[in-house]
Amino acid sequence: MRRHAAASLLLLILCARAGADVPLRVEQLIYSVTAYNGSDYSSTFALQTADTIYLLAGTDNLLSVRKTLVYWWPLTAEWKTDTDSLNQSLAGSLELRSPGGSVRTIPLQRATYFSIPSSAGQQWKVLIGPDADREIARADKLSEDYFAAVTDYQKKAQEYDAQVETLGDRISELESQGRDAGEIAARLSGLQRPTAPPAPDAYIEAPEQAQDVFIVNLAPGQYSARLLAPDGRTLEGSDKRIVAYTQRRMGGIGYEVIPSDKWTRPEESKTPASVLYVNGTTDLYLRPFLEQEVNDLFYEKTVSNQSTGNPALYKWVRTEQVTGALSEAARPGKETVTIVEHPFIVAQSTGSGLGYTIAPFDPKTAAPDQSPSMIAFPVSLKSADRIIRLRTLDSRGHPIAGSERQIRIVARPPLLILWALPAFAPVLAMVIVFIARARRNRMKGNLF
Amino acid sequence: MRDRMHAAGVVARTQLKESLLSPGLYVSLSAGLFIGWLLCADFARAVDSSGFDPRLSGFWSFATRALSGAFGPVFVEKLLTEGPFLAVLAASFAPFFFVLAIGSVFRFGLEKNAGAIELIVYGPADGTSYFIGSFLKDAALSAFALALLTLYFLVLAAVQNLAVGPMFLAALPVLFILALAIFSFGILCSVAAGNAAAALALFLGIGTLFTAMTVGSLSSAGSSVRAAAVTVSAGLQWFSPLYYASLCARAYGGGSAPAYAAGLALLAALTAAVLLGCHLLIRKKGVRA
Repeated sequence: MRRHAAASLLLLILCARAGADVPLRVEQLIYSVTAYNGSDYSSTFALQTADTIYLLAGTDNLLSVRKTLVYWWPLTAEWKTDTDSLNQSLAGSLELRSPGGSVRTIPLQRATYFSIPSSAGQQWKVLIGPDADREIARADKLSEDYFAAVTDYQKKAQEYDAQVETLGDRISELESQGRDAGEIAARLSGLQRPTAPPAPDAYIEAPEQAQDVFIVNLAPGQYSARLLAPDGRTLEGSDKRIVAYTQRRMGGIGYEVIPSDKWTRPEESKTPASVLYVNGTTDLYLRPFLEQEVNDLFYEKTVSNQSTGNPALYKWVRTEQVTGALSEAARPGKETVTIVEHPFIVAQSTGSGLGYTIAPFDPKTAAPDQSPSMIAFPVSLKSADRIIRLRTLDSRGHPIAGSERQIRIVARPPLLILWALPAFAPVLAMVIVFIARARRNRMKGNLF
Repeated sequence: MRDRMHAAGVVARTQLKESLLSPGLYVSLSAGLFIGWLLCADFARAVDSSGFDPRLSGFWSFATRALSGAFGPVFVEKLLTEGPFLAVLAASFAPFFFVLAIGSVFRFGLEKNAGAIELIVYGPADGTSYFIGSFLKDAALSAFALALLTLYFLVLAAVQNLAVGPMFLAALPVLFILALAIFSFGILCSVAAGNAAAALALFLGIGTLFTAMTVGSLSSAGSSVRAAAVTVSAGLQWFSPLYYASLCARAYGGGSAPAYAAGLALLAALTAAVLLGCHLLIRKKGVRA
């Protein structure tokens, strides 16, 4: 009997443990937010308990109010939504009250967003209603055409491979019989390998299915928001504060610095004041990018409403890479060198040894589907170099303001400890002062 | 006024000579310089092929993690953007500054207790000229310490090929005027309190309050410390020299030279206002303990 009781208890404990591994789902009214962060659209959500949503002023942001299940995911220490179980978009209109007290109501609209290539990298667009549907249909058509072309290419490639194999076998057969295979060999060399269709480049980020959202584009300031149901009642729990903020400064130049021996650990240099210290053992690859200065907390909350940040600090954030530029490197006492952007390929080392090499990318010798791993300015370092001053030039050869940087190769003199000795100069001065005073007092016949 | 300033100058010179016999100042200055050397050498050791990696140094690893936890990674990034010297300047100046400030407050209280100030007041000087003399002595010694630290850092920078950047140079006047403002609060505590121990306790209490307010206000959002600090400091921050110093730092970070200069001017104005308060208080209370 006791044994049975113990076994039952153990089973109960195990069951309880197994049950505890499933996170508890709670139904909540959340704001789903697709916010423009200056370079990209970030998708996040504001929990019912979150009181504020942060949006970049003067940009189209897509909001919707939903009922869904949320749960705490301890592995990443964040709240997640279970939209497969419940994802109910609530109808109504979003009422926004501005700091001055004026009220604005935003209706739900079918909308989509996407980005297209532009001279500045990419340009984001938000389309609503029939325009959105047309754009989605166009994107679908491009995608379908591409996949049809790929299917056709694969079929032709298979036929080509089969033909090559058959002709190859035939040539071998004829040669083994000592007969002339010239005609077949000529046919084989005349075969044209089909070329893969180019991927559509109309979009960088293609439009997704249109959704019913509130398109919120606000002037800087703090707003109170709430959802009004179709019958005009305010939906309980939908009250939120919206902070619309602007960048403090724009057009800064930052650099991503990739050391050749640590491809996976790039550094960033964000302001002209920031000095890049290195030990000079490897070459560097620099990628200049445009950046904007934003409030740390506001930006982090825009990207993920659950993040935290410091509202007292501003930080530079990358927006897009500077393309088509030149770089100038000046070493003291040497001629200034102009560096041109080059494509590079990162190749994993073969064999048991770990590591990789960064080599110039040559389209002639590269595999057909291979593309460069990065396009960057190579800066070769020598341990004799002490300071390298860099700056980026635009396509017309003019220096870009704020692009100046210093790379310093830190020196480690063998007798660095000797430079600690001057630190004790004040103590030495104290000893001298005290001895001199004691002497003077003795001379005067006084006691020290 | 001219006589008072002359008397203050004489008091300052006398106190400066007496300070030369204080071992604490020499030792704290040496300690500061040695801390500077240690941290710079450790910084250079933590530089590898991809830049400064705090994980390669025990101290910098601990310091950056602690500061990131309290103020966020952006704070650490800004602090070390030019190199180690901005952080090292604060760490190196701290021992000398504390010894000087605490020593001045304690000494003022002791001399008041012993009747030494009363004795001077019977002569050509008054209470105001005494504390101005003490203030000038503190200012001169602080300027000397900052100059010595800067000189030493320039040498270390040249030896290890580190940069002493514009942010470091901009921090020097802020740190100097901040020190003056805190000295003026020390004098206020000395004038207001009845004895040396009470003056010291009051000074340390005010210093702790101002530091807690600033640290709390600068901490990352979401922490309860920040919420409490922001609430407490809503009115009190206007009396805190650290608040004006943080305004200077923000203005410099935002690239606004006029706002930076205005922050310095406000810091100087606060110092002057506190000294004026000391003058009025000492006239009312007298110099007797």
